[in-house]
This record gives sequence, C-alpha cells and structure tokens, in this order.
Amino acid sequence: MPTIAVIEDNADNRLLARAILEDHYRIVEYDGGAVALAAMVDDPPDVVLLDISLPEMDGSEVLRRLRQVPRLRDLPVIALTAHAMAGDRERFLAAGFDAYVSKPIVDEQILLDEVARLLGGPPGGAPSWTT
Amino acid sequence: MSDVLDPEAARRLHRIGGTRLLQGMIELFLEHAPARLAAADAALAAGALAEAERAWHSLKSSAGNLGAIRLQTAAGQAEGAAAAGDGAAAAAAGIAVKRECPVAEAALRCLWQELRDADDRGD
Repeated sequence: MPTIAVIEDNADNRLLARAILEDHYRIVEYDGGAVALAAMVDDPPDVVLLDISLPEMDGSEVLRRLRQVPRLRDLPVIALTAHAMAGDRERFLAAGFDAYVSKPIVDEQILLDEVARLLGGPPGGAPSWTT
Repeated sequence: MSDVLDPEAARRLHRIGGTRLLQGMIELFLEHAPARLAAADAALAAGALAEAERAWHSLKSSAGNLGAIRLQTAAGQAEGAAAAGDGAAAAAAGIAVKRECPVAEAALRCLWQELRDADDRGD
C-alpha cells in the first residue's frame, strides 16, 4: 500500500486528510516541516501532502529543502493551502509543486484524484514506478 | 442556524468519515479555537502581525472545514489585514472574529450533542 505523508500543523486538517485517504493508503502524519524532513529520509513516502502555512518553516521552504535531498528530491508533492487566491495554482506549480489542492477540501474526490494521478494509477494502487 | 453553519459541510464530513469524524473535527475545533483567539490577541497587542495572521489563518481553516461561514469570513478578513501590515484594520477585523467565534462554538456544541443523542437513540 503506497504511503502518503501529511505535513500539516492543524490537527483537524490532518484528521480530515487521514479520513479521506486511509482506506487506500498508509498515512504518516507530521506537524512540522523540520520533523518531516528528518523522518522522511529514513522512511520516504510515495506522495507528500504539504501545507503551505506551516509555522517556523513554511511549505515552500520545506519543498526547497526536500528537493536538495537525493533520496527525496523526486517525490511528488501536493501543495495544500487555505489561502485560495486567484493564481495560486499556477504560482505553486511554478514553484515546483506537482499539484495543488485548496482548503477547505469541499470535494474529497479532488484530493483522491490528485494522489492517484501522481502515483500513476487508481486509488490504493502501487506507484507506477514500482510496477 | 444555517447562516452560522453551512449544513453541507457537516454532510460532507459525515459522508467521508461518519459521526466519528464529524464529532472529532468539532472537538478539535472547540479544543483549539480559544488558544488561537488568545494567540491572535497577544500577537496583536505586541504588534506581531505575522503571528496574528497565522493564528487567524488556522482559525479560518478550521472554521472552513466545519462550514462555520461567518467565522471563516471574519478570520479571513483579519488574516488579510494582518498580511497587508494594516494593524488598525487587523484589530478591527479581530473584534469581528471574537464576536463570531463564540457563536460558531455554540452552534458546533449543539451539533455535537445532536450527533451524540442520535447515536444514543441508535439512529
């Protein structure tokens, strides 16, 4: 079962992401960027769901550092943000994120579809690069 | 109550994770909202607009998950004012947040109790 790392400081958003994804994926939660970067080196997920508005180290900085780690640099990363302003999607994709999902998640299928797309198969399927 | 809570949000959460998820989301909101209000207040008093912005952002996000529309809107306005560096506007918007938060909390407590009562009845 592919692993999704959820990096999000708000416990309610982590709970919601887990509820949406846990039937199909193994979920690993982190409440901050630094702890996530340290842990993911030893336990790399298949997809990262990364909140932008993290305290201390924001999501863009987490992404920048993640791309510098050889074991993590090719991980698909979904930007998750409650800013939801016009042009956000283009801005985050240009910054190197692989997908963008806005909060609140009003349609859970959007998140499921993005994760499945990045894994190259239907929800719960093995990552395409392992088959 | 629909101008306080969008019932669609509760339906969505229930569809995703049943009563357990919906109650869990409400409990987390009620647990964290007072600290976020206090953090925004303290930051505002200290002139730390970035910290106030973060507290309002978290409140906006949590309110949005539960369909607490008026609180979500007020917190978003306060967040925006803080992000723009406008302390006076942030303070004014923060008053609206403090007015709306107890209203949302009361509505969510009612919803939580309704869910519990329904569960007790075996609905």
